[in-house]
Amino acid sequence: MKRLPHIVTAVLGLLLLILIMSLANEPEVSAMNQPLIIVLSSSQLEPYLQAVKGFKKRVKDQFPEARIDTFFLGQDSTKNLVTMQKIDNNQPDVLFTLGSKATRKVQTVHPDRPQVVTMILDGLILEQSKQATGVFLNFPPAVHLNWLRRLLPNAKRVYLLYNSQENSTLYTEIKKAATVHQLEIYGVPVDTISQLPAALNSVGRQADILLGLPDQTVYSGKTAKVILLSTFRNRIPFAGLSRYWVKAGALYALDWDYHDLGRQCGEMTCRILMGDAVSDIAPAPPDKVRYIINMKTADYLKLTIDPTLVQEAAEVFQ
Amino acid sequence: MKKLILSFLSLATVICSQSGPAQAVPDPQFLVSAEEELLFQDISSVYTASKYEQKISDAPARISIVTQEEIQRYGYRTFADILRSLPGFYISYDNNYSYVGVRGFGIPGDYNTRILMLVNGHRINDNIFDSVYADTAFILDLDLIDRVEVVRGPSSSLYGSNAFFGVVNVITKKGRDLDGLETSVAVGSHRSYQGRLSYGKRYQNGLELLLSGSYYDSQGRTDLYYKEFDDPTTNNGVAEEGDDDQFNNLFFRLSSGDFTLESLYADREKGIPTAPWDVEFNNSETRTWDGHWFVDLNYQHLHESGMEIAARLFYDNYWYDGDYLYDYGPPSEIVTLKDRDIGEWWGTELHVSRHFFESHRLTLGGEYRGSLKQEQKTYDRYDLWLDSQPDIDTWALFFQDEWTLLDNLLFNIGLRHDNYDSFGGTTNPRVALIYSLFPETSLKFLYGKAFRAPSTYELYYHDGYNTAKPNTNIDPETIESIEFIWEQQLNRNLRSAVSLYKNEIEGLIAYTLDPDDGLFYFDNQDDVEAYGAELSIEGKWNRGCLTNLSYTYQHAESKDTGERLVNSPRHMVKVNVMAPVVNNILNGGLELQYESGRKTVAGNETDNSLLTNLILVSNSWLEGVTVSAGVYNLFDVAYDFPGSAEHRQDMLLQDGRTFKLKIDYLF
Repeated sequence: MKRLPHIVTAVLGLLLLILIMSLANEPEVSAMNQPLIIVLSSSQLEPYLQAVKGFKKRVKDQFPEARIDTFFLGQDSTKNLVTMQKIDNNQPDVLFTLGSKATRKVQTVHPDRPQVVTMILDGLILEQSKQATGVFLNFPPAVHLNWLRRLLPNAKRVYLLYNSQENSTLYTEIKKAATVHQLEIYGVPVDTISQLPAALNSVGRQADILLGLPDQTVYSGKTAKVILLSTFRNRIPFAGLSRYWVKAGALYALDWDYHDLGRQCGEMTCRILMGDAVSDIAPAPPDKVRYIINMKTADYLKLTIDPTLVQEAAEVFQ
Repeated sequence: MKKLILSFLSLATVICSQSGPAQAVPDPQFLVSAEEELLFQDISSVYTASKYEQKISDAPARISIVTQEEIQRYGYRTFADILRSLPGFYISYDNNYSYVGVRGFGIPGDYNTRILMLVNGHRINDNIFDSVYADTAFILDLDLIDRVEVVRGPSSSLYGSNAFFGVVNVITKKGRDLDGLETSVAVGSHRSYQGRLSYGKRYQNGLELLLSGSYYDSQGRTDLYYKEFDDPTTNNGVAEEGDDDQFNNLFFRLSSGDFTLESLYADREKGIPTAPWDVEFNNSETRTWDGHWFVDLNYQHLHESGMEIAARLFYDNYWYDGDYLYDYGPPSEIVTLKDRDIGEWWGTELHVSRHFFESHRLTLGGEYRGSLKQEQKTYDRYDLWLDSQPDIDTWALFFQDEWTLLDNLLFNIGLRHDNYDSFGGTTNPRVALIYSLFPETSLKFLYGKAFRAPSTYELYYHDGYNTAKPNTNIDPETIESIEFIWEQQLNRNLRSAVSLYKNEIEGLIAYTLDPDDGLFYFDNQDDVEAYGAELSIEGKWNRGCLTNLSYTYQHAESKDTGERLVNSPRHMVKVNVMAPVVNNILNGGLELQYESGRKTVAGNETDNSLLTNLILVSNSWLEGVTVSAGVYNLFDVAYDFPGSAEHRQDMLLQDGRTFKLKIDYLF
């Protein structure tokens, strides 16, 4: 019994020690009155501004006291240098970057700071930094095929043009997902731009639809016209990559709710501010899917699109 | 390349930052496009783009493309109308056949042997005359054409014989273009009636079918007056009958995956009112029948390695029958001299294309054409004058390399060897340098050689040695051509092209007289030189407005005599305007064609002419219905084409004002 006070003292001491240690490990935020978040966007285009807006709203809802400093990159390297110096002089709790250019720049300045990223196409940038997470623009294959099925229920032979060194994994994933939707996926490797005309000829002969998925070799400002004209001439529906492609003549494209992309990123940021480790927050695809239709193209292709789907489209080009 | 640009720009940045203050220096990172930019950049609309712009600017030749929309909006009635609308092309017509002249060269009576005609890549030139039809005997209903691609200049390095002045490739519609049943009826001047029934569909299993049949009948002109026959014994020069015209077309196309099976059938019967070769005037029994059908199995495959394979197996059947009525008297005895020609051939082609070392695209190919029949017969009730049945097979091997020297510099070289049972072998090269000086500017330097093999008709035709004899020792005629082309995108709507060329033809095959025996025969004759310039400006505007303006200067003369060639207008101006009128309910098509005079066989010259055609088209009145109404030669201008050696007429007066009304209905 003589030992009991010692044991109690030791246990209490241990508990106190644990308490002190845990308090010492508590993120700075709990001690912070005003967390600092730096936003750096690659562009001032409307979609980027919408995403920033959605982000700010979500963060402010939970952390009204948070300070959010917003910067934009531009064409002028001197101005960009000044911007990056300003960011460098701060010690932000979280960095929110939009677009690959901003993301890359921030990773060179603050490689160890938590970073939430959006408006990028793939997870490559996220994989390069353990301190980064975010919402990338790519929709999962199943989402693409699901919408393709809904919009073009009679399409069966789905063609993909892809760079085999860049996107063979994506091709495999799409092919796998297609079995559920009873679609036949045909991939045509296009490793250099010069292979594109032959690939488009092949599509023109056999495809029910050309599904456009982001690929650096196949889809660019340089190739857009050739692809659109080829599918148009051959009366092959082309699922474009974004609103701009649909406006130019693609039949439809999945699109993003940019405000919601910002909201999703805001939510990730809040979790970081609340103490979650970045590594615990997996990069995610967009929560919401919108679609845009070009009815002028549908008419030219002699396609009938379900009127309900036309009504529900985020935007319809007539 | 990107690294090079970046290094250069970085260096430039350093230099600029040292040399001057306060200048906005572009961020190198922003010069390299980010992955996501392809989602957020503006893309030119497909609706305002020229649909074949890329094809035209990248080709190692001057190319024109006529689309179905233009065919409909300008109300083209025959294939000759389509070709006549293009810079450098002109037509003559002798109330039996239409003859195509190109770049100042259009020998009267030449059955279009110096252009190669393809339908979906299938060679149409027959194996007796090497001819193609551009008139109502054309093998396809114009409504079934998706587009016509016209490649000017010698192309024997890829296509062999007949690709002398150019290659005309007709691309047909596919089943998906109709997606149902379509019918068409038309009426026109000279009691002309035309009907078509077509069905096209692309089925869910990938099978695609197009089936079509057409019929045409025309009484023709009944008031043709020829002063050369103005005599009471020949109805005072008036041909009251014999200009009638009938044709039938059938088209079948079935495709699935990499395979396409297609077949075309066309036959035509035409009266000849001009009394050529001194036949009886104003006798409607003088007439010709022409026909052609083929079946073609085509395979095109793109291998995963990027190798393209194209193979073709085909069978063709061609026939020409002619009844020519002569008075063998005195005393008067009307006898029909009959031409009966039948051509049958089969063939196969294989082309393989592949990229090598990223900068080379190599195409290798081979062709074989085996003659099954090349029969020419001429006879009357008394005798068999001609019975020729040769058998000339041909094979060819070729290669072409498209070598991308720089991002904006392309070198194209092609070489082809053809072997004929008749005269042996010939090898023809073509080289082209295509330089994109700016994204909007393309410069092309072309050099090429081509040949035309003597046809069976030219080698073997005779009339029992009465007036003509055969000559089996004819060599192929050849052309050597140099051309410079400057293509310029002037702004968003306008595109221009300037072409300067010089052609030298050696060993031209022509009909001539042997002074030793007084018999006519074909042989290599004159050498010809032709040079010229073509300027064209094309405009494409919003709301479906299209404009085309072209000016052609062409000069062709015999190198031996220095004389200007017969049937060769020196100046041509063509204006085409297509625009919506009356709040898009009607679309108007206006065509103006000016031509300076042409020298005739007798050394005279036809008058300059300015023709105006006006077409109105509407597809807004009823769903699925398209109505078009056209007036041709709106101002009823009198104009002539030179006659040929077989005509007594030195000039042949052409149609005055005519009309056509057409209704298409897509079910």
